[in-house]
Order: sequence, then C-alpha cells, then structure tokens
Amino acid sequence: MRPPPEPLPDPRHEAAGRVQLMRDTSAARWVEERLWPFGTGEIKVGSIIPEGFAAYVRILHPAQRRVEDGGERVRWSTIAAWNGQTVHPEMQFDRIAQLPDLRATPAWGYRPPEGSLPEDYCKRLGGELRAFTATPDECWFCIWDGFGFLDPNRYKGVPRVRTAARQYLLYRGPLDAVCSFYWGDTWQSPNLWWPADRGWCVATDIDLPETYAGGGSDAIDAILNDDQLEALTTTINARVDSEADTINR
Amino acid sequence: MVHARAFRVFRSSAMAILIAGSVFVLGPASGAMAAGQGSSATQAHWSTGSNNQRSGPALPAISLSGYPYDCTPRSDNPHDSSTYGGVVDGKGWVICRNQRPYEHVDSVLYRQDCWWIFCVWNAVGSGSMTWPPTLFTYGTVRALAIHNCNGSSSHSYYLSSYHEIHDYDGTVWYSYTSSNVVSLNCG
Repeated sequence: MRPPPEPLPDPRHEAAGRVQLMRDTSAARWVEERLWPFGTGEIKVGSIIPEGFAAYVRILHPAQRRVEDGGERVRWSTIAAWNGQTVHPEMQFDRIAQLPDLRATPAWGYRPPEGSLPEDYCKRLGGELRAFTATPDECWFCIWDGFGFLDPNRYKGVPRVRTAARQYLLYRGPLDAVCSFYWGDTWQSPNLWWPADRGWCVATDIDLPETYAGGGSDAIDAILNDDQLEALTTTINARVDSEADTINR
Repeated sequence: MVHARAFRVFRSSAMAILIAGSVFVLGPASGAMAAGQGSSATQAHWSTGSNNQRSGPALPAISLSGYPYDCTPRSDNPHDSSTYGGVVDGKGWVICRNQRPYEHVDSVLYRQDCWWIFCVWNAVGSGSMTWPPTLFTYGTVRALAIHNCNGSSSHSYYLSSYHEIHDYDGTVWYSYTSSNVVSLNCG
C-alpha cells in the first residue's frame, strides 16, 4: 500500500507575514520591458539584469575548498592564481578552475553555488544597498517558478512576472526580508530584487554562480569596496555564457 | 534493514524509462503521462532497500540513521540555459543539512515529440553526480541534464530524477522526483 503523498514544504516566509505574494505584477513591468531576450549563442548581462542603470557589478559566489578540519571558502581570484589564469570581468569558473565542463567538480573542493546567493552574501549585499534607496520598506522580490520545492497547486493561478526566458512569483516586503525566503528548510535568495524607487536592482539567474547588481555609481562602488564580497565591475554588454571567457583557456 | 515502501513499483517503471530512453503515449501533447512523468512537480518519499545498494565507502557509524528528514530531493523545471546559448537544461538535486557518506543523483531530460495523435517522450539529455565522502561540504548534489536545441519549434519537456543517499549505518535511501511539464521553444 502506498503511503499518502508527502506534501511539498510550506513557504515559511509567507506564514511569517513579512512578505506578501502578489497577484498584481505590474510593479515588475519595467523589468519585463528592460530585460533582453536570450541569444542562441552569446548571452549578455542585459538578459540577466535590466538595462538602464549607470553602473553594473558582477558578484562572484565563493567556491569551497576541503581542508583537514572542515571547509573554507575560496575566491575566484585565488583559484585563478593557483592555475595561472587571468582575473577579468568575463572570466568563467570552469576556465579558471581548469574544469572540462559544468558537470565537473574540482579535485580540491566544490563549485560555487548556482542560482542563489550564499545566505551571508545576501545579508551583506542587502546591507550595502540599504543606503542607496529611499524606499527600504517597500521592495520587490522575484522567485523563479520552476524550482522543484514549490508546490504547483499552491501557486496555481498566481500571475507570473514573465521575462523572455523565465517566469517568476512576485513578492513585496521590506528590504530586511530579502534573505527570509524558506520553503520548509530550503532557503533561496530572490532571483531578482529591487526597491520601489528602483535605485538599484539585483539579479541571480538560476544557472549562474554569480550575481549581478545595477545601480548608481555610489551603490556599485559600495559593493566593489566591500571586502567580504568578491566583485568586479562589468557592463550591460558583457557576456555571461560559458564561452564568454576568451582570455583563459 | 529493508522497509516495504511505495516506490518499489514506481522505481521499476522509472528505471525502465531511464534505460529505454523513450516512452510512447497515445494522446495529445498535453495528455496522459506514463510512469515517472507528471504534469506537476512531485516530491517523493525516501524509501530503503538492500537491493539498491551501490558500492559506498566504509565510514564509522554516527547517529544519523532513521528517516532522512534533513535531505530534500527535487527536480527543477527544464529551462533555457543562461550558460549555453541555444540549450535547454534541467537540474536534479539532493540537499542534505547533514552530509552523508554517499549522495547521488541521476537526471534525465525528456522531450515530447508528436505526430498526429501519437506522442513519444524521448530522453534527450542526462546527467549524474555523486558526492564523495568528505569532511565538509554544502551537502548538495546537482545533476545537470543538457539538450542542444535543433531549431526553435515548441516542445514539452520535463525532468525525471533518481536520488540515492547512504546513511552511516549502511542504510540506503532512494527517491524519485519529476518536474513540471513545461513548453519550450527548442527542437
């Protein structure tokens, strides 16, 4: 006899009341309009984060190195130095780590997480960006609707934010709630988030081991100067795809 | 230790699908699904069975036996890849808060091809990943299944995954999940 189906985990962030799932997605219309479609070859930063900001930054999720008494984070620049590779805005993890493809795991440890910021990076980034919005109490958060931990029945009929290649659930809440999204024990950082005054925007695509932020030059400089984050200046026309790294081989 | 669990029969069907590579379904593109396929995402129970054992490392037993509530298997929806232009990918995962000595995921990406009322689910990509025994990890295993698009015709896709973890007392737990069926412009 089969046991009853195991329910998918509840969204703790909704029950906690700090963020509200939205049925009106008009607040995200500007994102839908300013994101570029995916190319069939090159994929640009403009397909990940909306165009129109004065400056952009690429925040690199840390990899993890095995050490005798546990594990430690390792920056992309360190890995590049190990392998004699060059740090530049379009460098790709597989190239600097000298891995054959996206399925490979480095012998010394683990790939950087894809599709979600590390939780402490999320808090750090939210803290940095707080000073660069006049509306920290009203922010918008998009969560990709294809994650396997989402119960499709719960979100049936909920309107989606629709970009060229992704669909998202839209939440509203204070900036302080940006790192509060849990489905059961599964934590996820928003894939897109911005304040109501659109002073900046942050994007973590589901496939990428990095996060992009766009904003005024002051906001981007604050991220670049945070020594707890590894970040590089980039542009809306820079490539993000696996063939983007034309310097490292 | 062997527990009688629901997914024995399902497992047989799903493994047949993984091996055969294609499933014939009579009906419209959005119609009936074969075993292992779902119109909506599923999260399966963990089940155990000694016949499922793979060669795992011998490690000292610690108090991490019993139902693996801290491990979550899942299959995310197939989608246009942002790392490879003109590619659809799907990811199967197992995420454990407490690292196990062995964690493994096999994922298969299926595309539906239809002629008149005859539809076939073809396996168009697959991926596997095994976590070796380590002192520290994120406790995360991700299998990546990739398909290179041949044209931009619209097709239905879904991802099916087999997840296996070994506890320190030797118990093997396995589970199956499948993603939603999604329509993508990828031939």
